[in-house]
Amino acid sequence: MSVAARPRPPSRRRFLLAAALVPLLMAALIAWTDAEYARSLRLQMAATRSFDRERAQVMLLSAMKDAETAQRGYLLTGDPAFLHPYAPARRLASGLRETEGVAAPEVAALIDIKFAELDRTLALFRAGQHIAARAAVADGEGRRVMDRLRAALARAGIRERALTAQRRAAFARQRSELRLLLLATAAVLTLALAVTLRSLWRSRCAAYDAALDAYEKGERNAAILRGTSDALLILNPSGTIEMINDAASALLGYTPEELERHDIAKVLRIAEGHGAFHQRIGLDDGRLDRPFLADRVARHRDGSERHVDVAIGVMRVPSGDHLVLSLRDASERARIERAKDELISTIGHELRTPLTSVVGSLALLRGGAAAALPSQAARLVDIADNNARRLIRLINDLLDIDRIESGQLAMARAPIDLREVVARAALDSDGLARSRDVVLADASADSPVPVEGDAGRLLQVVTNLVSNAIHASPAGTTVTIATLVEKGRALIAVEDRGAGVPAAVRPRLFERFESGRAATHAAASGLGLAISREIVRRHDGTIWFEDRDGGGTRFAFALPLAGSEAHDTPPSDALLPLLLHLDDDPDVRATVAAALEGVARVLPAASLAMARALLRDGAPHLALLDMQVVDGHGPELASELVNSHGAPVPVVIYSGQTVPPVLAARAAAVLTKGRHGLPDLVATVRQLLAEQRAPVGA
Amino acid sequence: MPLRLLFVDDDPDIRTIVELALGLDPTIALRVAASPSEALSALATMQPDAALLDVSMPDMDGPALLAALHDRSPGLPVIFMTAHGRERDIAALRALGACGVIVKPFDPLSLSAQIRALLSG
Repeated sequence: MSVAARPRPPSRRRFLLAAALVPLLMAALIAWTDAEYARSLRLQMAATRSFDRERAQVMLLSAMKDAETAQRGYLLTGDPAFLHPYAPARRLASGLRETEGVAAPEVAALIDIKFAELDRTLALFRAGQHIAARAAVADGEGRRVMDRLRAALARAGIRERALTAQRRAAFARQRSELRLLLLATAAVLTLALAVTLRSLWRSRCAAYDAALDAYEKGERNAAILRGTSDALLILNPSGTIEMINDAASALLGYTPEELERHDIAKVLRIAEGHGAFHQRIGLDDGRLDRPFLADRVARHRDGSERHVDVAIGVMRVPSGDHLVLSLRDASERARIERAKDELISTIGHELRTPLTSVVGSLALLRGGAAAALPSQAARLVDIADNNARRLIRLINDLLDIDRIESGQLAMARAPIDLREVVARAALDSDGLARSRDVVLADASADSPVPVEGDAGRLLQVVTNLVSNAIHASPAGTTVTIATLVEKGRALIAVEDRGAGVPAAVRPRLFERFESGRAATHAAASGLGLAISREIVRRHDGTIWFEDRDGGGTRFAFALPLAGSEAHDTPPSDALLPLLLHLDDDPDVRATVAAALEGVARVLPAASLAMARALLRDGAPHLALLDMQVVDGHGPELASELVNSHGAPVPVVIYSGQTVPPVLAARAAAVLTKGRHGLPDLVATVRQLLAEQRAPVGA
Repeated sequence: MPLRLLFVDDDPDIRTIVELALGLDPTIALRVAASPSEALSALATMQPDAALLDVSMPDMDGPALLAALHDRSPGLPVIFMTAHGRERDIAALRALGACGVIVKPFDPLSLSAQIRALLSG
């Protein structure tokens, strides 16, 4: 399932840019349109004025003619009635003459001349000089003035019309421009509207899709939450229950409404102490110190207590780190474990009965109880016998683990010579070795190797190691078994020339169901080494493995020599430099102590508390620290590791975990369990002790 | 004088194997019974020196047969054969009065030696 990317908020900058540009564009368009409109209005007004002027000029000429007609009528007839239009025509003409733009200076001068001629002839006539007045008219001066006036006005009219035509053309041009502009604006606006609507639609669609997606995911998660058989509780960052599923409801006896918005402490104690919830539960930057809490007590609504295992997951959401608690009934787990153990025991025993017949029959056949077998038949019987025995060993391994877990693995304590155990193991494994074309060599000491122990169980250990070694060995190589007394202890070593133990399984090789061998080898129960370790441990011994020079692996275990308790610590040890070794695994402590024998006096500590108690007696010359021990981190001790001169004690971190660079930088050396063998460790310790030999000697 | 051994097991295969295995040893005279009742009736015709009993049998199991045998022949050395080899199982059988327990699967070729060791121990 792919994990969706966390959504990002829309870009404010892009939105602001668009929001600023669009109104600016619109304002510019509006301003342009407005300016164009104003320009066209000005053109129209100019055209109107031109028309008015032309009309006024026509009216002026007409008024002048009226005045002339009235004058002539009166002068010819002497009838004053003819003079009636004279005064209004003359007022109109005078008014128009004064109107701006109507009478050009030439026209105005001609009007004045005409008026003067009219005044003079009328004055003559009124003074009784009728003949003189009529003669003046007949003289034609008045007519000539009128002709000149008409011609002047006609010229003005032509000019005005040309101007008007010019303006009209400009107006038409400008109007078509304005039309284009308006069309363009409308097109731009339509486009903008379309784009806006489209983006609005798309954003609505996207919002719908997202909502639908969220709905579907929500429904799916809710269905998972509802349907899972594990009891689930979701806690917000302050430890308040946000939601619970049906299984949790059933387990705790509360309805969701009764628990939601209540502190988790109401039903489950998982975060004791003071301070913020995340601090108490050990959540730091989305990482939990302990993501699994075994066998916690959950309080049921009826007051009863349920034992549950709690698995905690971290849900990193924008509102803070939430926790998902998965509760599983631990009593059920215990019941299943018991049932499994019983099943293993029952099956184991039921299988042994038919196998007894098989192995017994084959052994009798091999032993010649029936008749001597032809060689091919004998070979087939060997194969059947080897495999039936392997089946029995697997069953016995299973039953032994069952015994180890239930604390029923008993050990006899009898004086034995380990050389006999080794000889027997070699004999028992001979068939297997020959079938795989591997040579078994017994390189035991000449003198007895006495220990107190259970010969059968120790034989089981050696047989297991030898069988493993044979399975790991390429054809034609030799597996060497040796037993000897070394550094006051009995030592049994089984060496092969195989491919070695893969790095991945090294740290857990002695754990249950770990098989260090590749899949191509014979099926192993994965229990042999776990059982061997337990048997050796029960003999107060230690078991380990190391790479051999030139390839291959050496498995070895060391036991106390019989009667050696009195002088476990050689007196020379007192002179050796002190080394504090902090590790909560007793096997590691024992193997390291054994490996460093004669190099340093090892002060083993299983916990920080024990290490601190040892430090009160004085500082060691070197400290070997595991990263994680029962009560904290090994490197926590660093600040307390100061010698009598106030100088820091060199620290070697020896751990199976990854060491943070900050801690690694402060350590004198960092060795990784599994990757670095005991020889590396011994070499490092030797070197570091040699570097400070001068202060040690002084 | 061979050792007269009464062997009781309901499993015919195991009976055959034990017969063959112990048949290799001329110092053992074996009387085989397929059921506890057959074993008890065999007592009428023979007086065994020791008994080798399977633990899980129908009708009457090994411990019950041991009690019945001891009723009739007190002090008869009894060795049990069982697939249940846990220490507590063995201890429980010994507590019933068995002088030894042979855990299946056993090695037929060393069975007689094992029986003699248990009887003498």
